[in-house]
Amino acid sequence: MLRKGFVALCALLLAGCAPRTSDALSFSTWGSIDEIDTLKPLLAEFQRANPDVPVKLVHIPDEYPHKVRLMAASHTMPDVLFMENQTLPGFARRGVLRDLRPMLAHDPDLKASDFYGPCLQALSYRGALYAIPRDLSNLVIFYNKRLFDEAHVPYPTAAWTYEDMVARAQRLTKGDTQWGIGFAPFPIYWLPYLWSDGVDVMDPGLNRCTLQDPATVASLHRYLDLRARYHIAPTEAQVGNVRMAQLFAQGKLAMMVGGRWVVPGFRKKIQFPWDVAPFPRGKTGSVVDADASGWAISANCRQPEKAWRLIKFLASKKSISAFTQSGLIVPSRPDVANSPAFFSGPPASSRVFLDVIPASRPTLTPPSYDEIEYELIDGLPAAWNGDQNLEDTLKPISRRIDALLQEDKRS
Amino acid sequence: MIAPLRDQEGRWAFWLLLPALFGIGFFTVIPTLGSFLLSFTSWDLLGAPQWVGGANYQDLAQDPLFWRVLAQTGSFVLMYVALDAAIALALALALNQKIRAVGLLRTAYFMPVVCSMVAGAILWSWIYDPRYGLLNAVLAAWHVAPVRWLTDSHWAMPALVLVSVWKNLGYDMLLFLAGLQAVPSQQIEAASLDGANAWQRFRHVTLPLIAPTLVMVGIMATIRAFQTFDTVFLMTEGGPHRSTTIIGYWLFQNAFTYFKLGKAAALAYVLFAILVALSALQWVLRRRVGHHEEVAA
Repeated sequence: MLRKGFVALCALLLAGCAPRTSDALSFSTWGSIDEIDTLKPLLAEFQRANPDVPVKLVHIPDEYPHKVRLMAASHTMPDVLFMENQTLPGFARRGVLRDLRPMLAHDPDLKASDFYGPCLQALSYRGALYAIPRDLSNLVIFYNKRLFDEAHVPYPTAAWTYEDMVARAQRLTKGDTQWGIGFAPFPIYWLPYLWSDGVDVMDPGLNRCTLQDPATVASLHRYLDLRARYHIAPTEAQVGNVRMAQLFAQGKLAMMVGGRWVVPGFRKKIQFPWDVAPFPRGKTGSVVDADASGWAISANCRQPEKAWRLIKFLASKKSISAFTQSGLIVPSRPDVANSPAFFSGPPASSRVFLDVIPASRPTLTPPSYDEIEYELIDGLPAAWNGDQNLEDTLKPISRRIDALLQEDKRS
Repeated sequence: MIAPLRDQEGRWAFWLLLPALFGIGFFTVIPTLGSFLLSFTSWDLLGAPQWVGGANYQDLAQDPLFWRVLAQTGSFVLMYVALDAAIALALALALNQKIRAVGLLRTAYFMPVVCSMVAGAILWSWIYDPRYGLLNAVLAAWHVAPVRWLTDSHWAMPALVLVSVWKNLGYDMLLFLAGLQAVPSQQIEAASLDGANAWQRFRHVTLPLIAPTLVMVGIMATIRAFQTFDTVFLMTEGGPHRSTTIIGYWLFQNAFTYFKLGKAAALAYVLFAILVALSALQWVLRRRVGHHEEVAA
């Protein structure tokens, strides 16, 4: 009697762990409701053309890498995963993603040359390609044309410099109510200042932190100067935690560093005329990030051929055009980028997003990047807010990043 | 006759305990043992955990940030326990008097305990807001310059201590009230007749009698303080400049932001060892207090 009960209970518990019997292809993605609304009709269309490949969409709006790792740990990692280049190395180094080079090489329709080189480079790790790119994300300068016109300041141009930007921003700043240029503590927004001066947080071999190198300190000072010396960027005391995109949309900020993802919101919210220009040239050029996101296949996927068919469909000219239409992304494909899908609607100079691609580069992302990024976001505000001088602020952060890079080498 | 009956009782007890046993086994015992094993591995949730022996513990011992986090945790616990016990006892003494609307007041002080910590933390983030916050507005009346409570590394930790005290004060106050109400009024009266003043009555009669409650509150508050996570997560994210990174939050970061599960598990066992040591200390302390109690009775 007792034993029978025990067996029944065990059976009940195990039923929950039973392997999935359905052969549906699971496909995980993040994204806003608007993005999912774009994706769903595409998936329906794919389904009609490929009735033998049922697709189960797993929408993870928040904490995406976190959730996917937990799924991997419980052996339920999705077959097809949307990934971005900053978290990709962490997955790729553990061999949980499939190298897509052979599939791309043998495909009769899809070719590597269909995509921007930097996109493919961003989604590669140690020579292998782990995702087929959907978009390329980089940074440009957004500017409020009305504020420029009112102050009779010439618009930013293609070859303008950091000094030009400062000079213009000074004429566009009005005490406590209007600022020339945005200032954000997140590394993605200040890294272009460093790269354009030929320096970075780490060396390319990821051996050591280069924050305390004199050239890097000088470059960080140039960024800090926007607040501390020229007073052309808002301080925390002036605007609190308001996002720069919000301040820009309110017409209180003449220029901001931003990515394509703000465009749909700006199209809806902003009444004044606005446009984009390339990031200003520093000591060695105008260099912004070439980050990317795309679709990957899990190494454990039992139906890679079907997964590839789905990815091929999603990465087709037609699908990428649909994703591009809302203004959210810079498409990974030149044939879509040079079409009305990308150019219709503001900003008028959308071409800038494409023009900056050749000189751009992916963000360096060692396996401990999440922790390194935290140290930068948490540690540097002491200097950004003027509580402590920059050199003293950099010392402990630099030591910590060195230790993390060493830890990465060991693991 | 008795033996079969006991058998039957035992069988009943077994069946009634079985569901809870499964629950505890699957969700407490196995994970606890599992995480102990995990602390000897390197694992980022992807692939299989790699056995690394004591490397995680060794790395921690050599990591200056670990010692900083421990020191900060210690100062958080000390500040929290001292402030919490002192205010809770003071409130309990006040609310143990025959004053008007005492029920209403007790309820009011107990309110934050039933409040959601998330709501409380958001509320306090607004109170602490450097520009629009209530606290700086009140201080401005005394011409105090605005303080960046949560983004200044000198103030962030005390600010968090205050929120934590506010949250659980009511519970500890209630425990003290119960302790105070068990103090026999005859003994207080006897002390009065012997000419003891209010302070002497408190120090030599009330305090020894509620000493067991004091130890209990102290220990519970210590454990609670060591496990603090939510306030840090919701209000400062361990910053600024790592100044509010205490062990519970750092453990979470290592496990679920940096995906260093082995290191996080090692940290959990360091925390476990500290709590075991403190509990042992409490045991010794309690026996000494118990001895006191007998003398007092």
